[in-house]
Amino acid sequence: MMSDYSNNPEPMGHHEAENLLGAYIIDAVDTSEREAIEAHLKDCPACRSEVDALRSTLGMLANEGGPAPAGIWERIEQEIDGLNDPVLTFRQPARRSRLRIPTIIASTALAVAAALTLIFGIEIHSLNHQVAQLGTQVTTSATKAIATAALLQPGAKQFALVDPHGKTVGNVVALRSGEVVLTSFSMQTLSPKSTYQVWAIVDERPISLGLLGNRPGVSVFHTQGHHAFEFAVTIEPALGVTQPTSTPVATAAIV
Amino acid sequence: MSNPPIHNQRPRRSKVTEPQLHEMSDASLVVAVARYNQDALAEIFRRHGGAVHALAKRVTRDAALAEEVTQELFVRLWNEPERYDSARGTLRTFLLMQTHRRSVDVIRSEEARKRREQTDAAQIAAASYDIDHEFGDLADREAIREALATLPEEERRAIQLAFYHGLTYREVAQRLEQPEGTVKTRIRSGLKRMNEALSTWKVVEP
Repeated sequence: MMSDYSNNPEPMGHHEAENLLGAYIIDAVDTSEREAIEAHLKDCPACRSEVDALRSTLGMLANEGGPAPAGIWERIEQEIDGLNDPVLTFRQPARRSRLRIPTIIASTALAVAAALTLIFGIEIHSLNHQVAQLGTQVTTSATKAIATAALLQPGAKQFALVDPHGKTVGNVVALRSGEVVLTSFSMQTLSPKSTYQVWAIVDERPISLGLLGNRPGVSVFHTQGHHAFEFAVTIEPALGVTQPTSTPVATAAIV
Repeated sequence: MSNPPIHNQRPRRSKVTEPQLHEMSDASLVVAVARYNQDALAEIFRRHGGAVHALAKRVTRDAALAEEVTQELFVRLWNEPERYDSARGTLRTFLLMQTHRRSVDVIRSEEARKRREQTDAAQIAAASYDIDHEFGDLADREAIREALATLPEEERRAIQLAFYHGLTYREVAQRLEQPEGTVKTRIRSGLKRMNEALSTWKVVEP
């Protein structure tokens, strides 16, 4: 019988997902099945590992030679030039290149923070009435480099994020400029209905710094000139909350 | 006194000279793209644009759609370079996977499907499942040929129909008049078998 996962609140079971991995990797499943499998992959290391292994095989199946027809690159270039119009977007290479960063990749982290400032433009004390979606997690090979680059900033300090049992579950790097970089985070993946939310404790009050999503990676947030000495992470509904509804699952004290 | 020509005043995106770009690894080029270096994207296009376009054309069997998919892929890489994770495979594989998925999505859209269905079924039915026909112009054809030779005929057919013709496993089951569960299993076991055979080969990055 045909399963339609678009109307099915039940997650796909491991056995069914596993049987579909071959069809999934060559895009031979329909959209609702693809979504159900991807939801399963988030929580199943065994299936993820099979998909990773099959991926390179597929790369070879598709690996044909020959140059692309003339004209495509010109159209790509035109589209990109349109995107770079400063009226349309804040992506401005010239402005970025003035950042004094010790390594190339460090600019990625700081540009992310700069973009946040541009997007939100809000002082930290006004954040307690709104929830900021960070949307800045970096899941690329640049991850490690960003973490390293953050530490290379003059005056950067690294602190451990610890759970209530005192176990280290991640690291944050506080920069003099006010950025705080979550450089690693090893807590479990949450269901898509939940998110990790980061708080700065200022004057004993929690102020939302933003949402980390259900599978946090390297993230950058900004305290906008306010000196917070304590940070907390709570688990909240996916859209975030203006005040914590649960006790912190991790905290970092900056001394 | 005359002003210098206006084009000299335009900020250049590139800080890297061309010989350096040619020597950079794919992963380094993606980092440069993340810094808005357009020449780095051009170098990635030079290395992989042909393969992306060839796959898009093979799956969509439509020159205009293939060009659209290729353009979309590279603009997306420009906008979201962080989606590529070098720890999970080569850039070429990443791009080809994206290309395949996008091509399949495009041909499954209603309008395109209508156009294709008139000719496609007849072509598939008539085509012989000759390895040279399907895989003759592949860069790694020797490795692919060997890997495919290890597959039972039913597995090879299922993979070819799904991968190169963009069919779902259900559609493959209908075409081959086999149960869906059987096709699902054959695709998976065939790919695993190929993976084992290919594990002794390495993808040659140009």
